[in-house]
Amino acid sequence: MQNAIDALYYDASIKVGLQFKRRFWEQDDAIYGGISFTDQPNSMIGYPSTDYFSDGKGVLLGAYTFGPNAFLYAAMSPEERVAKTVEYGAKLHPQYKEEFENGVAVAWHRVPWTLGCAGHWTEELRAQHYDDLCAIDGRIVLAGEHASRIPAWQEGALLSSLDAIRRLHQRVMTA
Amino acid sequence: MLSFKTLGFGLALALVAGAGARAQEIYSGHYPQQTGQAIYQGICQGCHMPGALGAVGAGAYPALAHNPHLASGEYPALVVLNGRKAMPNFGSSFSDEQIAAVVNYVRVNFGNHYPKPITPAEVAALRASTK
Repeated sequence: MQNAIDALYYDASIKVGLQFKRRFWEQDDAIYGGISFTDQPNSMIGYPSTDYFSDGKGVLLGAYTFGPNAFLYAAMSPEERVAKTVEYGAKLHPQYKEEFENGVAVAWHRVPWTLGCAGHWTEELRAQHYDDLCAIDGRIVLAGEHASRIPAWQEGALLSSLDAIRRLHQRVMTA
Repeated sequence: MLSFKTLGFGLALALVAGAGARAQEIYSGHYPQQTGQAIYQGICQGCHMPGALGAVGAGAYPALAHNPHLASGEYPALVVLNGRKAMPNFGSSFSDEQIAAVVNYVRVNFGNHYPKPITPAEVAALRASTK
């Protein structure tokens, strides 16, 4: 299990939420939900699929990145991440400059209890380490997206926990 | 109605997974930074932190400041190329020149005094020998 843990590193990911004074993407540009993809470091802008046509403030997913762009973002301070995201987004939506209020940024490599976003499996790593990672080793059994075949997904984490509990139960009942 | 928040991580990954070419674009790529300082501040300090002080959470990011493991340039170059434990490999995202630049930068900053640089050619040889 130790070898398997050492072999699996975590992918980086970041998200930035931006709050605006009004839902200009709906009011000016007739955008209702969906995603704009961009080749800038923020990678994409996600528009809310809720509260269509409402007055008042709105929040966009201003950045959501993986790979190199996620490491670039993680290396910034939270304030800098928000400022850069506003800068990138303003190229797509000039309204950003007028309407931006505040924002919040999360970089999973900086979240103390995970230090990363999701296990990075390759076919080779799976062949070599997956069974060992999931096996009950002494008093330890792991469960989570990293111990599943659906990495990064809540579904993988839930299936993994059910599987771990089933195997633990089986072991206790046959002991 | 599902809120965007609850869809969260899964939604975008579904879109990514649904288009193979797109996933490649997002997960691979090169870094524009070329100088050691720009590479360190732009990428490495995302984990090793400003000042190379490292951090501790569920695991630990080693401090590179005052780190005797940097005495030989080959060791940090190998770690950047191939990764080590929780550290991802950056071999496919960095050129030999970039790896030499950032390794040499870290080895003469943050309280480290190892002035004999590693050359891009030496990084290339390491890359070839560990393929």
